[in-house]
Amino acid sequence: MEAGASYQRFPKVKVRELKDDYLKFELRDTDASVANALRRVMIAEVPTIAIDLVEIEVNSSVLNDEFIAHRLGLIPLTSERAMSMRFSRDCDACDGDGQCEFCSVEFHLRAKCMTDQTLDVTSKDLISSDHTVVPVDFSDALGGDDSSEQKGITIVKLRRGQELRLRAIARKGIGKDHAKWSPAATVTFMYEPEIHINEDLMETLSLEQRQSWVESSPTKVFEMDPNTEQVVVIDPEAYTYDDEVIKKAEAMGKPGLVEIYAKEDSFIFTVESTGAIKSSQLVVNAIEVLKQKLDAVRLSEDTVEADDQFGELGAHMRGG
Amino acid sequence: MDPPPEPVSYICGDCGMENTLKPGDVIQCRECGYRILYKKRTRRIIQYEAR
Amino acid sequence: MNAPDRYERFVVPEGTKKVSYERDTKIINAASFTIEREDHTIGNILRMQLHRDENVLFAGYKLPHPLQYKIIVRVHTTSQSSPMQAYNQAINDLDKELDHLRNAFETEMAKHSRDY
Repeated sequence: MEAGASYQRFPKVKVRELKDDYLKFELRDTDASVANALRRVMIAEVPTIAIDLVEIEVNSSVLNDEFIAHRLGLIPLTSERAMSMRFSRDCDACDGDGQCEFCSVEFHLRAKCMTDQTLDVTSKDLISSDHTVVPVDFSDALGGDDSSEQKGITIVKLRRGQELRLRAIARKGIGKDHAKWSPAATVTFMYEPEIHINEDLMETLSLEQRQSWVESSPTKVFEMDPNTEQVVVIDPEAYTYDDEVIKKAEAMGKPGLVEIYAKEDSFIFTVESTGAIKSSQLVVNAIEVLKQKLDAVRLSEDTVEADDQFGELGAHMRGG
Repeated sequence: MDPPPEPVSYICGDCGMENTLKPGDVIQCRECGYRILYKKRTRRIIQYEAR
Repeated sequence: MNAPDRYERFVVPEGTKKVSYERDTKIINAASFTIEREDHTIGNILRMQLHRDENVLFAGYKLPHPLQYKIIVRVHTTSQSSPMQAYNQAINDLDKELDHLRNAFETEMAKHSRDY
């Protein structure tokens, strides 16, 4: 038997824009299924840490217990530890309640309003038992204009005399289980467009016609160079695959004025993270998780042939 | 059957004062005379899933 | 009321195998692989990779029901290969492709952060 020639592809990556929570990169020479699988894994299967269990001692606020518990679950926590942590259900160190130091992080929050001014209980009031897992700090470098940027996520507001005291356990989880564990704000990819303008046909158009054709595109893909009166493509990636310019060309009686193809194996990814994981780290983790999934799905020596639905032959063999 | 029930404290609906009542007491706030008293929140810690 | 628990989507219960397969009785070199607790993420990527194999005559996947969390991948091959071989080969190739992708990405990140 042949050892099997490899039918592997060799993808290429080029980073365009990189910030802590935003990443734009190009992915080439791979299939759409791989790009989509990456996207799906980034949204639903990269693990993070989020509050999963809340024990409330005192709550005299205007929001009821489960409301506050729900809000706490949605607070993004810095999850660098997540990939190396164990799932609570798989942890053998704890005595079954899923709350040991290896598989969970404990938080507590104590707030009581003493003044006449409304007390804003925010994510900054959550105190963690592990300093590497804390609520994400959203204060930008642009702070200073308004201190409201530094406050953190509002959980509940308290009036004089109202109190909130609780203990929360955060665990590792994936977006598939509950959206609070999804580390991605948005992950999108688009096919890279290839735009060809038929120059000969373009010559037959008058200045106004060219102008109106350029303006018929909802996004700024084309531009009229005022000096040479030529229509040029200034931003092919602004094209959203609406066919407005094609319809306009047909309406003007010039079908084939422009030809737009989507390159089948060239993708432009935009990854925005919630802050739980850095966006570049999110992509790396997604690739790792996808590899783990493929590994789990391999055929092993002990993969038994399932006899159940063998049908007639099986029933016959069993003496049926 | 069970040991003598502990005196339970209720909160007045008007002034917010804590009133301890025993079974058989008149239901009235000791301070302001308001007749609607609320029970306090349980001492047990309740667990919720943050979902 | 009848909805399954959320963790059912990815937790394989005790006693159930993650992957199992059945040969087709009527066609030689044809088999259906049943993968528990997986969805389009793995199904589509496997199917596309199987298509690239010259020895594979037919490859497809389906989710029998959206509330049953499993996929069935069906493979027919020529006599030069077998469905099991093609399946494992596809997974190996995908693994290598992802390795390559990860290296390319990390190299690109290192380059980018240097110039940053």
